[in-house]
Amino acid sequence: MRWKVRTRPIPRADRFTSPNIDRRADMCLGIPGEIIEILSDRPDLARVDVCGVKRAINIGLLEGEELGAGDWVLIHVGFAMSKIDEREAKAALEFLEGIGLAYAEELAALSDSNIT
Amino acid sequence: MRFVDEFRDADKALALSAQIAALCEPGRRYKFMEVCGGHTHTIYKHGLEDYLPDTVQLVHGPGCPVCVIPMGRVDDAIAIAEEPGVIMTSFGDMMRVPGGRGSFFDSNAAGADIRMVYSPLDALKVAQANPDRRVVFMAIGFETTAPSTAMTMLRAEALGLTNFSVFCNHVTIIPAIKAILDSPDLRLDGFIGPGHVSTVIGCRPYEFIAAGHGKPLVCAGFEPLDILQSVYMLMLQLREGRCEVENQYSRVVPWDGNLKALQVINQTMALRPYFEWRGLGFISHSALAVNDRYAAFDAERIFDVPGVRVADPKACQCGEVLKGVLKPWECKVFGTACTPETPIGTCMVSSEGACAAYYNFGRFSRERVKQATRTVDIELSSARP
Repeated sequence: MRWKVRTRPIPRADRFTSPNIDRRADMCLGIPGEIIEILSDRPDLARVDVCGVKRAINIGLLEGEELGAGDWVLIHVGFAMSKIDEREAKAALEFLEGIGLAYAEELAALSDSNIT
Repeated sequence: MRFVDEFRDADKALALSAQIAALCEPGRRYKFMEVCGGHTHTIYKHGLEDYLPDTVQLVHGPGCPVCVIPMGRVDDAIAIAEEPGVIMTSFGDMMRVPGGRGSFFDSNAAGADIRMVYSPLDALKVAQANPDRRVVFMAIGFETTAPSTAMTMLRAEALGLTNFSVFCNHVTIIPAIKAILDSPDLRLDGFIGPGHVSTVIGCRPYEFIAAGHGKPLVCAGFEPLDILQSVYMLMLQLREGRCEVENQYSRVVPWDGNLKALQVINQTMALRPYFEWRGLGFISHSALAVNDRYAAFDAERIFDVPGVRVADPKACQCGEVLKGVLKPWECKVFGTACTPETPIGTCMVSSEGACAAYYNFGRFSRERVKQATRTVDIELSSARP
């Protein structure tokens, strides 16, 4: 004779997730933002748009880069760390699109084949 | 934010997953270390391990700036915060890191004035607004954050502020990777290189890993697909017999890094002869201190810092987790005595810490697997009469 062991229900994710885990700023992480304008009275500061939030950040670390409205930068603890190359971003995206397509084609070819 | 949205794409992840599986050599197991805590966070949050074949394992490295701060440094910072007239400012992640005598939160509750800031420039604002107080910024982080601290000191100098100083705990990633490579506990096939540290130092400093240690490294971005693509690039290198440093995150990381950022670090800081890392012990030339020229902004010279070394709690196995020897759930106190609400070790404090990331995201899928295996039938004969 066999017995089935009943186990406790799986805990609900929201009950165990720390409430502030994602609200706390991840200090190591950078977020991309789009420059709205370089402040005319403080050329080392720029106003950026991050997900609709507009705030001033320091762009002193990107000295020598040509920055202007519409450029994307990576922001970390109030400083622009790197100018994001939009062309590069698109290229990376295309690579992924490319293999996605290859994969989709492979799948389509497989489902079309009939070897029986 | 359009990049981020486009990159979160499950069918592309599946396509990459199939490509990775196709590169696996039969009978071979692969172990890659993601050095950066940001990657650990993404891996657990999006369940990326489910997209990888069983033979490909990701282990978590020491790249979580909060996790590697030893307890003694927290005690030192609290000692500074308790000096009369001091306002201590710190990033939010640091507030719950336990020292030998409690955390910043405990000290704040006991009466010390400790404030959370988003940026070191906010700390500078606090100093300007409180000219009669001494404002100290608790500087932590790898090379990503060090230039911000350096720029803030330069700004403080330009403003002529005399009530602002920095308690410098900045660490450098290369000596930590060296320590891992020299550690006998771990056999790795390659590294997923930190993305944002590399925006500052570039990809060149990693070349010794490929040339001297024979391990490939790919600098990776923080989106789920970035990480899967980096694993794919590592597997491709192994398959083709190459061993190189590659840059998957080239849309953000320039190969040469940010020279201006390196220059401001060099202008205001100097390498310490050695620094203690939680779990990894003392590592030579692995941290930065404020240099002699900017001594006026160095909290370690302004205040009397006890500098006592505090041993980690015996039960805590953060050291093994940070070196990638143990997975978070293999730690003795994980999820029982040590939780994000009452952390014993630092890996449970920061959301980039491997334990906190796993506790919050990863363990549910694992628990489901465990549940499924536990509902196995038990022979009545093995039960007691």
